[in-house]
Amino acid sequence: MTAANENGMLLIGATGYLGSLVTAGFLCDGQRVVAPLRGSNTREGLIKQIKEDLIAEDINPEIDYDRLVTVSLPPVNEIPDMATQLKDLGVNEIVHCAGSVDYFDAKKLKEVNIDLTSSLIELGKRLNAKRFVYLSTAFCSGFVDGLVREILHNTPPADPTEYTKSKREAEALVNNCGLPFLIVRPSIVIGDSRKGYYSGKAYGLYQFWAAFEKFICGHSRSVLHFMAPMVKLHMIHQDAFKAGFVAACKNLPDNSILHLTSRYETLPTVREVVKQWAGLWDVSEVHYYQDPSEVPPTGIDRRNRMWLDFTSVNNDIAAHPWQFQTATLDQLRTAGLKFRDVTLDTVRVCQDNFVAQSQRAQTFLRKNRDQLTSRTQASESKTLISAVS
Amino acid sequence: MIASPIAQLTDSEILLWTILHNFEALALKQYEKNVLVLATPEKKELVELLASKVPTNKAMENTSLEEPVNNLLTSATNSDEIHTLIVQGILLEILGQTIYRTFKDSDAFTSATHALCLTGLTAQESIREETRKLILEKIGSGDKVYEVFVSISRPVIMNLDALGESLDQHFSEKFGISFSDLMGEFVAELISTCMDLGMDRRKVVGYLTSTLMGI
Repeated sequence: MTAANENGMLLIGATGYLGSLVTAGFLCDGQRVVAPLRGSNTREGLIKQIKEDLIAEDINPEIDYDRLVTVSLPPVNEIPDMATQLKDLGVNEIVHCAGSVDYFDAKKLKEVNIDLTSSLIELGKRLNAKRFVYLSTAFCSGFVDGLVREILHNTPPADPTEYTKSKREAEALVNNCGLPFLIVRPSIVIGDSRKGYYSGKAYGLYQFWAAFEKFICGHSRSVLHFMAPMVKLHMIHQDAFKAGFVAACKNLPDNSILHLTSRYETLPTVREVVKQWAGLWDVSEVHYYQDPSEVPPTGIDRRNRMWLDFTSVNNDIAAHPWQFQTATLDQLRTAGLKFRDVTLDTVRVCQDNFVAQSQRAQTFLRKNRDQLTSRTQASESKTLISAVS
Repeated sequence: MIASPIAQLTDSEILLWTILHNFEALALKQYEKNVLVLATPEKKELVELLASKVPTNKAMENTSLEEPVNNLLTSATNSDEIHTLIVQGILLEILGQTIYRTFKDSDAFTSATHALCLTGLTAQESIREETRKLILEKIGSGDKVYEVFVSISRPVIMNLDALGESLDQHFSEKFGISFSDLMGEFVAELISTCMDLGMDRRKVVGYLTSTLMGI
């Protein structure tokens, strides 16, 4: 680690899914990143992760890793004391990408999304940081009617989860801290738009797919039940997220709030995404429901019901008719940002990648096709017998 | 019901009951140490019966099941009364109940297994109501018990989930029941029990989703 004579940013959460994308984006852009690591995370591990992501995206992974400096992350209440060390490293900006996405663990959400943010703000003040960048979520407005604007939100009539509430509260902390800020609000992040590569955990759409893989892909079946409302599903590809985040940091004025999501017109509906998924499995009977109240109380096997249960919170969020203001993103696009919007076809790319990586899904697909063939043959024989008699 | 004629356990059944014996013996030990009232005569009878049928861990040794089973046993061991009520009293009792109910009527098993399942169900019935009362009395209901449940049960559920692949390797084809079948029943019963303790269904489902999906 060398003492810096150039500016750098402190990037919190560099080993997380979105944090590592941002780290890679800044390094590829030639910027200096100081990444505090905790626990078993190492600089080598982070570089390995970045290289794998870059290779998967067809980007040359041999970038200048000397620009990446790692330091040890102390307990939350001691973070402000890092100021002297970080000043020596030339840190003059904080990019906060760490967060808990646990939907209902209020204690953990407070520790990570509120207390950690407060501590980092205090550090920012001691560093006299030129800006505090906060990674939030597009859904932090809560369930509100009409256009969700790129402003700080008031308390909504209802929140989808404790998580969205905690992100809104953290945004308020950032807004009121007195430091210049940028708040970035992505919608549901899915894999790379060109190859479908995804290195995150089973969040969002991947939770839907992974839960299906885990609980449905086991026995062949002829009937499936899905929650599939006909509203737009707000998503963004990880390559678009990375490009948008870096462009926002470089180009937007202080105190901006940015919604990072695809154009409303190009987005598929939940029904279209679910139909595309259902079409993979060669089942003869598929039921789609617009609203949870339509799901029949009986007649659905326990595994399908459990899967519906396990995706119910995300289904509730997806069923809301969200509409996000994207004026700031439009400005970035006008200024030259290349941002590939999500379409049904690009979701298909991600879906195909997911299925190709899943042994369990492949086996299920094979078994179900075999069963379907034998069911069809049996049915044809019956028809023939009936016609003869 | 008396299963007749009494058959011998098959090798696969011996492996299965060796695992279940470990969990039932641990449950009794934990009850005797931390919540004596749950160490019922029926529970003791079950553990003694299992000890007579599968007296050693030999069937499990050097199999792919040994490590995940031991991890689960370790995470389920604690000297705290509340931990025992949550882990043994709720989680593992419901798991046992799911297994015994599913296997007792399955043609894939011998009558010896059917009989053991019935003894297992009787043992569980003997503690079910007392466990519920104790939890409400010692921890409370609603969000209070939810928070305790979440903080204690997470590693145990994760270790249980990690057992799935090995269980399927050994039992799925032989018995025609996959781990995800059992988990479907287990989760449905667990959610119902949690709601009975006043927990918010949406929160419980959200928690189980994140735990079982590794997020």
